[in-house]
Amino acid sequence: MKRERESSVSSDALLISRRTCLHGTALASVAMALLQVPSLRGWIGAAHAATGGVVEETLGALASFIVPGADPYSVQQGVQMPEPGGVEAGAVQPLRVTLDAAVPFVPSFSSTVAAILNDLAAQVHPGIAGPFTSAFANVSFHEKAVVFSILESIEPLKALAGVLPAVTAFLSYSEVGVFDPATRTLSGRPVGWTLTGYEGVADGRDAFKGYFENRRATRS
Amino acid sequence: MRDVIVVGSGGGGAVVAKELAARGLDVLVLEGGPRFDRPADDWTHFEFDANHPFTGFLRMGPADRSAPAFAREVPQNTVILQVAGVGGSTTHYFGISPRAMPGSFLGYAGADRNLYDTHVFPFAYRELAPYYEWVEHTLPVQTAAMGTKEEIFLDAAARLGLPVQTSKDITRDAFRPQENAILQPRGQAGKTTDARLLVFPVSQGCTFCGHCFQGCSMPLHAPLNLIAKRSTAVSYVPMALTANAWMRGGKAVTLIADAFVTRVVVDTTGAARGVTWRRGDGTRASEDALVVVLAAGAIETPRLWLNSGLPNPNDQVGRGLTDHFQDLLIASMPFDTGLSEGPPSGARADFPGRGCLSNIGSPPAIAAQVATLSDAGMAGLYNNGLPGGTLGADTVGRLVGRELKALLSRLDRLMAVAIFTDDDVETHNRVSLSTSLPPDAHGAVPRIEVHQRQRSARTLANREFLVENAVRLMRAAGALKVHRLHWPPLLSHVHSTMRMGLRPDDSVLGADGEARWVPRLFVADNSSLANALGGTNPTLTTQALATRTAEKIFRRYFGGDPWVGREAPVSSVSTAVTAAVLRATL
Repeated sequence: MKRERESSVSSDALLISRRTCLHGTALASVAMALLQVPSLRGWIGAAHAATGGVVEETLGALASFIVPGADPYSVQQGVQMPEPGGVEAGAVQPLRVTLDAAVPFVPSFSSTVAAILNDLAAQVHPGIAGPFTSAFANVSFHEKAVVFSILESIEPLKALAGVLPAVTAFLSYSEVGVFDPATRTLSGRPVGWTLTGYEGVADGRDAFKGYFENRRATRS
Repeated sequence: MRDVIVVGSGGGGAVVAKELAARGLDVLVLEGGPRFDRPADDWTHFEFDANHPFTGFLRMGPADRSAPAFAREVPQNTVILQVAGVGGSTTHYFGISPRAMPGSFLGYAGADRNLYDTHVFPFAYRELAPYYEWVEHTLPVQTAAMGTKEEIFLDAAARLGLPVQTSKDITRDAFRPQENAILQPRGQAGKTTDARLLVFPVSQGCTFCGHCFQGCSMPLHAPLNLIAKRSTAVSYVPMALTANAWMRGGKAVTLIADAFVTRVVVDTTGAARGVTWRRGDGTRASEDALVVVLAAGAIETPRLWLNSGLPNPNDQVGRGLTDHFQDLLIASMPFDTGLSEGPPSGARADFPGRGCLSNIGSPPAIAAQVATLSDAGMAGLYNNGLPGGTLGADTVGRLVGRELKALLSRLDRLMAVAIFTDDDVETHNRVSLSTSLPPDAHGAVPRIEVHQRQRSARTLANREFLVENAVRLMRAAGALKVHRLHWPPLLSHVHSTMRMGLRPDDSVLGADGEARWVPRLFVADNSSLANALGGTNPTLTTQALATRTAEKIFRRYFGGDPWVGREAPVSSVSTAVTAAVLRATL
């Protein structure tokens, strides 16, 4: 039975180091699809060509799409806001680290994600030019939405379209930009707390309002 | 040779361990994740620190946080919220502890009997009632204290004309405060933000900090068993570890954390004989036992079964996953709601045969995460052709850009209502072994399939019914703008993948929780549930069922007598348990 299972694992999968492939999520499944579906493999190759600067731009453009602010990506997409957004919250680098950690068996999965977003952006707006090397960073807010709609129409990549906004939003509104992992303390007030008017973490709050109809217990 | 080995120390495993330890059996508990001994020191309230899916301290991963999380293949847009570690997912759960809908059990004769899933429990609801009472006393489960968000929900439900449910049993369409496994606030708890007063015993019970999902460690300096939220890590596990001290004839369990069970071993007759596990340092160990209990969760338990090569003659192992087909509605309100304060949920409405609504609260990052989850595209930008309507909501789909920022700009003026659907057991929703991802150190990794768009007509209709009623309730509360997220599968309630059932051809477990094809092997986590319980939160029912299973084990294999209904349960917050916990310096 064990032999049968192993023989059904794809050859691509077997090329992947068991030592490094210890992590699986919807993103891992997306990465496997990219490896296994011939029509999608080009993005893995394109990722190899992506420089760190392009990846940074693409993820910055993603952060500004989900949580726009006053950063250059927000300005470029035509939807900017005076208060800070995901870029100012410090979400971009942690987003890159998160994507890479999610799929350790693809070298720099964040580069693959960037390649996908940039390729689709170039399809949505052929010949797009702008201040950035990343096509996704140069297109408009609405064109970014079209990129995501296309992503959701490609069955193996649906999960990517689902996960990216949620992870980006989580990081943008979390403490990550001011969190010191060594001391597990904050060096300042997180942008997300300011954006939401959140009072901040606390050991307790003055918020107890009593019991409904003064009933403290319920009969069986 | 142990008497019993329990695989997993979460919502169900810890219960079996404690109950059998109290009977004097020699019990070994193996937990695949870390042990959280000093939550106040080991944890912070920060969402990034706690809830990051890959590196948070409440994640599905080994004790070493620098090591990757456990592998899963998830071939669709899905979020899985589970925790590995002592206490399992009860470390981040909301403590919501309702009983199941009686219509989910054999022999239900109510007028609404035709509304439920036909995959009923193989015994009557009244048989489980004394086990509910036992667990409710042990945890304990108490009527939820209200914050502002609860007042708003309950007032709106009354305005809709719903009656108040005054019993723990769910008898009709009705609303009520939650029955929560959270200690009610006493002293200064819930009344102050002054850190000097937020220490035990000046403050006792829930301090309304709003950090249940980041793991409860309040009030500070409380003995482990008096921490407010009753995860099994602070209730059943401390009792299991001190059973010799608070129970005459009891025997303390042996608990080994960071010990991932990779194989169930059977003897020549095919009966369970023991297990093999892998330690965090990569070494392996084995022990034998008279009985093995699987309680690794509704994903890892079927994975372990399949990786062990145990029989699966009807191909039902891992199949029939139910998840309450959850959805979320968020509304902006013209007044303060206290969304970020207090326990996440203190109010609910139940609709037997349909499912449930619960109010929900959250700090900002999780609020942002759940507001950007959808299977229906981006609100106002595109949709995915997903069936299901607005049903009175203003938008459908995830929020991004200005819409997201506008919604979250006043967190404590939001109202959120979660939908828990009574969804059908369907065989194509399942856990199997991945043939795509390579195996990890624990064997072939689990593949979790949920076919969101091929749900049964009853499941789809139930979800829409609940969404419509949630919108009505939020409007009655004064909502300015209501957003339906139309979530993809969000697996925080995962059940019935090793379901017990009436018939051998469509279930894995018999009515006593014992595997049909492997004697001396029992299952006692959410996977053992026969169905989706009518939509109610599963932990209490799993714990009642685990208590019943413990009795069945004790009677069948150790010649003992049952105790539920014959003895008085010992509360985990009793003076005797507190003294035992302090003596043991837990």
